[in-house]
Amino acid sequence: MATLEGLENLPSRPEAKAGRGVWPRLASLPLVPLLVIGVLLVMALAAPLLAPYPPTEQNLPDRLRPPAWVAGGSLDHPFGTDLFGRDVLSRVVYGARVSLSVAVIAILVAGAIGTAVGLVAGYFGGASELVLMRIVDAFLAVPAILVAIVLASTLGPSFQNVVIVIGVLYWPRYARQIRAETLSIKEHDYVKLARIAGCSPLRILTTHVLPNLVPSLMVLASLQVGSAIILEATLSFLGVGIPPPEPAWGVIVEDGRGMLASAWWISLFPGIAIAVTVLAFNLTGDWIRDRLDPKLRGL
Amino acid sequence: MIDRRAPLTESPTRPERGAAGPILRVEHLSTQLRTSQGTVRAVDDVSFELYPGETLGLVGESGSGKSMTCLSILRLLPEGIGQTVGGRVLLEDTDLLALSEAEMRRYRGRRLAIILQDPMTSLNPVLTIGDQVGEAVGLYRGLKGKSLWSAVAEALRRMRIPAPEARIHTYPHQMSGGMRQRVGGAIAMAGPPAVLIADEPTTALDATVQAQYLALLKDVQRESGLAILFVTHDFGIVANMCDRVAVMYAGKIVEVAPVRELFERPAHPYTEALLRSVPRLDEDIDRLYSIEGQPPALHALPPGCSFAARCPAARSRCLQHPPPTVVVDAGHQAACWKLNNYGE
Amino acid sequence: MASETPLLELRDVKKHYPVRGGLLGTREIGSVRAVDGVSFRIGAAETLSIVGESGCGKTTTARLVLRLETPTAGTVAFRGTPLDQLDAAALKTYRSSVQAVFQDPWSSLNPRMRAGAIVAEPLVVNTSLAPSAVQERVADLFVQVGLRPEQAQLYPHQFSGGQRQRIAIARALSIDPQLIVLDEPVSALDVSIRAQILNLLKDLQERLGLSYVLIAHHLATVRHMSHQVAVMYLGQIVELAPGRELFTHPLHPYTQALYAAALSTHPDQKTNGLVLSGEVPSPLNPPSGCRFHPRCPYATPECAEVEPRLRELAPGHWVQDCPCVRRALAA
Repeated sequence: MATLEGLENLPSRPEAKAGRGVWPRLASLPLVPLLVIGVLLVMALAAPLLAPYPPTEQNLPDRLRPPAWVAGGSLDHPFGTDLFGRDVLSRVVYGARVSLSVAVIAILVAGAIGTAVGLVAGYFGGASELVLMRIVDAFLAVPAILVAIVLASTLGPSFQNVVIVIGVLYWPRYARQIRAETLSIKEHDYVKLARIAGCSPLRILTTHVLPNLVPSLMVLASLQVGSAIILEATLSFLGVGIPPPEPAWGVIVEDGRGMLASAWWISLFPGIAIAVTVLAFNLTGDWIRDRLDPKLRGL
Repeated sequence: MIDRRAPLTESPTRPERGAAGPILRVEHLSTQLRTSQGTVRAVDDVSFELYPGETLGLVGESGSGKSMTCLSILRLLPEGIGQTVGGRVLLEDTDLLALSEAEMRRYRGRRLAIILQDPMTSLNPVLTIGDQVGEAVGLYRGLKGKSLWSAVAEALRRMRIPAPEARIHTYPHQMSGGMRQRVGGAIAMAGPPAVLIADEPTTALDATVQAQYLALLKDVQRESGLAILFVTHDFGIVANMCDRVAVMYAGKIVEVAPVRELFERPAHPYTEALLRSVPRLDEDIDRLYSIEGQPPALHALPPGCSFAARCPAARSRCLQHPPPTVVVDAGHQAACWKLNNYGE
Repeated sequence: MASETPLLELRDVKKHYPVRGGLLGTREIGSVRAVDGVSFRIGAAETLSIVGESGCGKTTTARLVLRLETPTAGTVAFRGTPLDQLDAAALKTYRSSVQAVFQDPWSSLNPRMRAGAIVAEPLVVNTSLAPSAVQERVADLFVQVGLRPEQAQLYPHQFSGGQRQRIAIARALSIDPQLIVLDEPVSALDVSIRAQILNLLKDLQERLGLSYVLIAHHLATVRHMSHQVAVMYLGQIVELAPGRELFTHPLHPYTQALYAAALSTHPDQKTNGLVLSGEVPSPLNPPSGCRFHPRCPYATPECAEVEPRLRELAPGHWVQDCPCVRRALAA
């Protein structure tokens, strides 16, 4: 393929507004995924306002009602009720709050640890890299689900413990990716010039390396939130995640497990919620990566 | 100086060789590119002719359109981003732009070869040299088995690659940049081609290796009567390799001349300025002549002459009306208002 | 040059990189002798250029001058004091006296920092100037390199290649260095822009008394900019002479070959012979004796035996006195 020299070196407009090149125009945003995430955020934040009933309120006379459009259902419970008469819609709405917050916090924790490890290993190399990367390899060698289950069972079901488990499982992925990126950024002349100017390693890492890692971090984070949600749902489903009666989506799915043939709506709606959420995050992550990639190539 | 207002981009003809017509004729070629800042005309109404046995230099800086011109001729524009929107490219009287992709494939690489700038990426790192050259030789000459391998060794030998039989089994990473470019040359010559497009093939090579490679190209050309379109930004290469030169700026050809003419009597202010701004090995200059400003942004070209904003000889007419092509001498044309008195 | 202490002096500097092999990668099976005994001196307001092809060691030499690496042997001395004898504070002063501009204008600037911040960084890190004083200095620097102070707000991608090099130069100037290492400063720029940047560098040298170590492969650029030129081959200097003299009277066969390979600038001026055969050998296994002998058109068997030494064969003109050179001079 001949050089696209003419294409890459088209000089940019010198007086364009600062920073405009990086942020997208409205039309090129992935509107649907972002809309979904927006709705989820609203659901999570405004759950008490949106949900028609408290999620744990039992209403035994009304139990096992099907969704509104099926015979026997009513608009009082649009998604039906479960074994204890709890409104499925309300539980799904509240579930957003639990699932999202677990996933986001866990990924932030994993990201912080993984980034720190990756930065140190990538920038300093030598012994620190050797040791840290072997630890990372060890973590990655063990099957995630197994570790998750064992760890979660040992620690016991609780919000914090789920965050810990997800954090422990996901930081090595970050570390590996961040180390690779750091190695590549380190080769850029501006890092060498920072050393020549007398910058301390800390300054170089925070001013020069980290800001250029942000695109990758964003991509990784959005893709991993999806995985984290599924992991949390799995753990809750297995009973070692968020303890009942908190309506995490995995818990709700588990509630309906024994009745899939008869009361299918109890597991279906939280299942759809999980799938849609993960898809939305994945699509957003992909979009961020595609958007930033050509820019990164030029830099 | 003959002063005649010729049609805007009538392609310049060579005065001497009457009998053999041009082997490649590019007529009013235009190519558009979609960039983040809108659609730009990377190649704007470009016309030139290439005769057998001669080397035509295509000179310009980044954004001049010289690489895009080559890609347009080869129909290798990036999909969805680049598109040829007008003109004809006649290779021995066949319009390449009118062919289907399948038909074009029979020309590309065979009658119309290319060597590229980067020896690192021109060759496939996981295939041996023999496989890569063999692929071309086998395809174009229909050879197989033993005759194929001896043809491959011959192709390598022609490119003065030492110990060709041994090299057949080596991989690109085991060779130096200069050797890799020779392998690229061997693949290109497999056709055998009538026209070779060389897109800055020596830019990434060391000076002594570059000298060897250019000498080799000249010998190959002499033996085979090959026509070469040599894209470069280096006037040293132009002086050593080219018979005629076309200078491009902002997607248009601004001057065409035989090489001696170009160096001694450059007609277009851009050519003149470029020649003056290059430091010379044989004399001491205290301060280099420099052209003000920067190469233009293709999406924001002014209505008149694209060079006017940086031109020391520009007048108001230049800023408003595109310049006509003026015949300066035999085989020498330039698109500039100054040459016909700014239209007065 | 004057008998005063040179600004920068390298004395028989060597840099070898061990190549490890063996089962666990711990055995040293050889070394890449990237720089193998280089000496030169630079005075104030002078340019020393280093020319050579890939693998000659010019980039490693630059890194040694910038103290991005430490020599395996020999000394790098700044104002007479060897660098390894400097304490941490003095080393910091050295760092602020020696700055660099690199080849690639796209890779030299942090894409996430504004141009003004990039230029200000050396000041921020090395001095305790108030922010307003820093801003003033940055504005002044922008003007000095031919940019407008308002452009300090912009990000690198909003500038052209030539402008980015100007920003890189402004940054290098910010803490008043005495020496700037220029590693192919204009090779990646358009031809019409190169002259602008070269003129700027020359002006700055005159105005500020800067010294340059210029690494370039374009001989005409080197001739235009240099007071001294060193030709390197496989880690050694084969010839070192005042700028003009090197090009009018090149003594070493390699210099002559480089000169011949530098393409003439007029079609009628054909280059005269001396097209070298072969490729540059790898620094892992340099040829014995004179390193250039496998490619030298005048080589004799004697050349493989004796390692030539650098000698001052004319005032300020040092050449490796191999048999070929001696024979040529005697003739």
